[in-house]
Amino acid sequence: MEAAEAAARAFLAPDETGAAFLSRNLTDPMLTGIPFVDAHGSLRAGQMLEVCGVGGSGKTEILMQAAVNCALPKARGGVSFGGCEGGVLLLDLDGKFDTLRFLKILTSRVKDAVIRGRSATMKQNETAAGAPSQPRKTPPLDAESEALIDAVYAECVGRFHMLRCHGSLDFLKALTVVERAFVEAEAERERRDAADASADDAADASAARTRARAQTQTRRLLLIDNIAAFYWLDRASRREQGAPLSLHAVHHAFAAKLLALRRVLCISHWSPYDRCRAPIVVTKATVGGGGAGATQTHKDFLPPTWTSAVTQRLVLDVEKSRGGGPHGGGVSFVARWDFPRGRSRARYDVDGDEGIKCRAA
Amino acid sequence: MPAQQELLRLIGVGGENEPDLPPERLEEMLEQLWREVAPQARAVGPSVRRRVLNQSLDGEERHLTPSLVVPPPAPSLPPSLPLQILDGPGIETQLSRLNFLPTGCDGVDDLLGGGLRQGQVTELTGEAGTGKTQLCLSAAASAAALGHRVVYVDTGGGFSSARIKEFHRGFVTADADTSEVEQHLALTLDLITVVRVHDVMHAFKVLEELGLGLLGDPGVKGDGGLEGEADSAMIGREMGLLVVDSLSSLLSPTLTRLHHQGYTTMASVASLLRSLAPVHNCAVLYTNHTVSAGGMGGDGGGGGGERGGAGGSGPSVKPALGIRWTSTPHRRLCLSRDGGGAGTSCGAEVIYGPGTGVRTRFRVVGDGIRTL
Amino acid sequence: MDNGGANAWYKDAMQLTSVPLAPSVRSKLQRAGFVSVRDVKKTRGPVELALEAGLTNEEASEVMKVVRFGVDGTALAGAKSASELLREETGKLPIYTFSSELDALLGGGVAAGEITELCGCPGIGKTQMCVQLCASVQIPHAFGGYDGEAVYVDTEGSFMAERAEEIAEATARHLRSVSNASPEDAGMSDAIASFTAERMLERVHLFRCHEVTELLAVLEALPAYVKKHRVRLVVVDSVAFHFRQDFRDMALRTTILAKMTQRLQQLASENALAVVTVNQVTVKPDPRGGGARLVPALGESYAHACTTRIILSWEDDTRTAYLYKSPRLPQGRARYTVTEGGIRDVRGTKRPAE
Repeated sequence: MEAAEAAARAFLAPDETGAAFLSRNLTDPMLTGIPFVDAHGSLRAGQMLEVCGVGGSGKTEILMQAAVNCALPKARGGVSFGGCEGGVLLLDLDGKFDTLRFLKILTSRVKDAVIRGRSATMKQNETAAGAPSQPRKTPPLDAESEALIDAVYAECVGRFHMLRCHGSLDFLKALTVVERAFVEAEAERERRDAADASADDAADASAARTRARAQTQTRRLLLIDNIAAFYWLDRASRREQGAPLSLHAVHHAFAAKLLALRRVLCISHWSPYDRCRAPIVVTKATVGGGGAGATQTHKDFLPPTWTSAVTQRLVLDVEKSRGGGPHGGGVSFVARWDFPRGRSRARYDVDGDEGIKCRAA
Repeated sequence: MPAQQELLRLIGVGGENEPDLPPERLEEMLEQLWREVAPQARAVGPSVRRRVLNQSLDGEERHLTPSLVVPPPAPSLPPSLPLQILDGPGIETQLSRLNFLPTGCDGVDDLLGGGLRQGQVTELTGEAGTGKTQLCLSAAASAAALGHRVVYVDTGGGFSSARIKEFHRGFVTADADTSEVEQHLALTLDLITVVRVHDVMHAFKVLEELGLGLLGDPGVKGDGGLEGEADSAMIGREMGLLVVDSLSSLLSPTLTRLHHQGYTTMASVASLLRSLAPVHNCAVLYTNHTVSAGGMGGDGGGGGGERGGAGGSGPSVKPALGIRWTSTPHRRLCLSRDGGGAGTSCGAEVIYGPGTGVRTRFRVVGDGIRTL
Repeated sequence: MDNGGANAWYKDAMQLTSVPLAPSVRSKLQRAGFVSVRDVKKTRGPVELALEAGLTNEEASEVMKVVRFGVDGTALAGAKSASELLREETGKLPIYTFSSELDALLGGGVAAGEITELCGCPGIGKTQMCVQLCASVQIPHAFGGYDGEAVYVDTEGSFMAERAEEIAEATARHLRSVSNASPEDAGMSDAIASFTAERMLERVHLFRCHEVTELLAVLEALPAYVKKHRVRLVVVDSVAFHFRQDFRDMALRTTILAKMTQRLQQLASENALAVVTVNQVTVKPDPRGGGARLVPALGESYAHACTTRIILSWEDDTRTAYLYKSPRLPQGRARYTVTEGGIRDVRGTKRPAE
């Protein structure tokens, strides 16, 4: 009788206090570096952002910027980089993610940040010393800055993982191991940091940094490029005839898995791995809709399970204007929030070198 | 339960009326899957890193002297498409094996950001007579002259070895030794493999076989198979450039049918091309012809001053493969032609992909393509 | 594993989507868990495949047959290297148009292995040129000709036997005068003995098509026909006639045209013969400024089908040929005229010194 009562009490006991819950969930939102996404500050764990648009509207661009921003550290060696310091896993279904460009953008961001940091400190030192501030060109980088750039670059590159999927089967396999991938990547990084820390002079600063990093919860970001990549290939298998990888089954499975990955609220102890606490950004390529409809409702070919899994949806539309665009191309884009409604829209252009450039609406 | 069905159950597509996997089996399968997918730990030195990032800044040698070029080493990748996580160092290793292949026209190379990059798919679209085939031939000649193996899939009879010879003459400096030039030309021509394809199923076979690193029966010599010293099975592996001229004439007959078989074929070809490029480290270049759009055509005057003169790039024609094909290549170049008569020049513009909107002009002459 | 075994393994990993199967059969295979060719080959025979996949025995044996294409050699077996092709190209014989300026424009004459298109307004001499080519293709080897037969597919009814006889007579006369000019060449005199106008007309096979279905049927039968009769030239005069009249559905027309040109291209490259198609012109209003220009008919999509395109027009009272599209020759113009004996140079054109 007491055993049963004890069991009942154990069942009724609270899992955690409100403070513990808040500390677990209330993290800073992930910043992507794109104004119209960050303005609403809602890329937190448990959110799934779907970005839909036609070909050429910059969906992969958004993912690339988000990846760069996430991989950059907050601050190193006295220079602030403004990143989120998290691990990034990109599932590339389309094969259009340009890794060379990613590395180039990363390098230029790191370099710019270091140069800015250095010139800012120099200016600070100057004004402190009372010297008149004269217009100064970019100071050449000394060996220390170069070393910092290299170190930060290596760190960022170590945070980025990519998985290329060639079919729906591959994609579903990948979704099954996403959590494990994050955990293993973090473990690997910790092992490397520990090895570095013991190899270096055990200066207080570096040891303290390692400890601090290990303590904060590591951020994660899951990016999926183009969930509609295998639509026609899967559609060729007929559902009525029970083909296992038919369109219906596959979409159902995607939605179920992503929903499971998104949920962070329930604590269950049967899985030895952490519940994935990454925000998810998914792109979806659509075929051009009709008309330049500003109030075009979004038609989804994915089942309702998917719609319930998505918490935010951003639709990128092409806006044909005359004389617009940096090269007179005449095509610019409008980003509008389909869900949740009521958020403002933004105009932007996709530039070859700089990526997404917002224009004043 | 057979292994395949277990896997399907694990990834969530099994039927509802089948039993759940027992937890130990679940653990076991997850472990197995992870081992298959885990990244291989590799460290990459800073010199490799710098080479990767700088390689597009200094261009390849665009004017060759005919020395014997050593072909790049064949990558040792498994034949099937691996499902594996690439971590940062893995990406850098992969990128360090890439080359930028010149197209033979400096202006077009600039549009492409240095040349045809291995691992990327580039599309050429434009009306008839705008120089698509010429650009394909020039790219094939340049890549072969640098020592890469080229596979040219020809649907319209446009391949001409005599033209390749003329392009090759254009690469060589004026004071080169004749016998060396001959030797180099022979090497160049041997590196180009031409396959004549007339329907889409044959094209599928060719693409898949290339993807699997296989070439025809290396058996009987002189039966129309490949000659040359290279081991025939290496061609698929060593391929540096794949040119398909023209892809749209193979695919568009299947697209205009009423049922959706055409879209499936198109999607299969698209995914095949896009997976072939990075896995086998080759650049893919194909042409897409245009069909009339039935549009107004009256808008040609507005929308940016100089555009009106370019001719043909207004809404009167559209690419033959349709809207669904727009996102397939990494980059799309639209070629146009102005005026008529002798000395016509052609223009190229990037209409999809990085660098959209940038333009250049060129002219096709006897021994090459000159940027204007 | 030896090289052959490794290659075989690679072959088998091909996906089922790239093998030509009926969609219902493929979906049944997929439902049973077969994803790649290797899975199908693992079964012990068509009967087992039929049992596992729920196919009929005929369907299963069809699948096994299709999947075993690897035994006959792979798709890349027909590939040639560019050096081989160069040798072939330099050895190719052109088909003369009998106008030296035009021949120079075309790099010697109409080339074999590709589709050459002639377009122009009515009366410019398209049919004349086709008949002339039918005569030229029969020139014996001794005179540097192709020595082959010709197939003439006539859709408009423009082939006139009397005109053909005139042209044949003129060609034979020309060859006789060449042979007389060098009497020591025994090969020439032997060849010219049997070269009469009647013989020449016998070797031109005329197909008269009254509607589009007949045209397609003829094209279907051509591959076997050309092999039987040693044909080296196929003329389709004209392609545009039926296609412009009989079709309401533009999409269907485009598909059928595309398939037709694919077949012609295949015919040309597999049998090393020349295909000449004749096209009409139509008026297209010019978007920039008023007026209109003449463009080849059958639209933009057909413009890509031919390998070489020649546009014939009137310029200053002379017939001019403009080479608009060619993979290996620069653009240019040539003038010609139509005489009693066929196509000839404009009088007063100097022959380039040999």
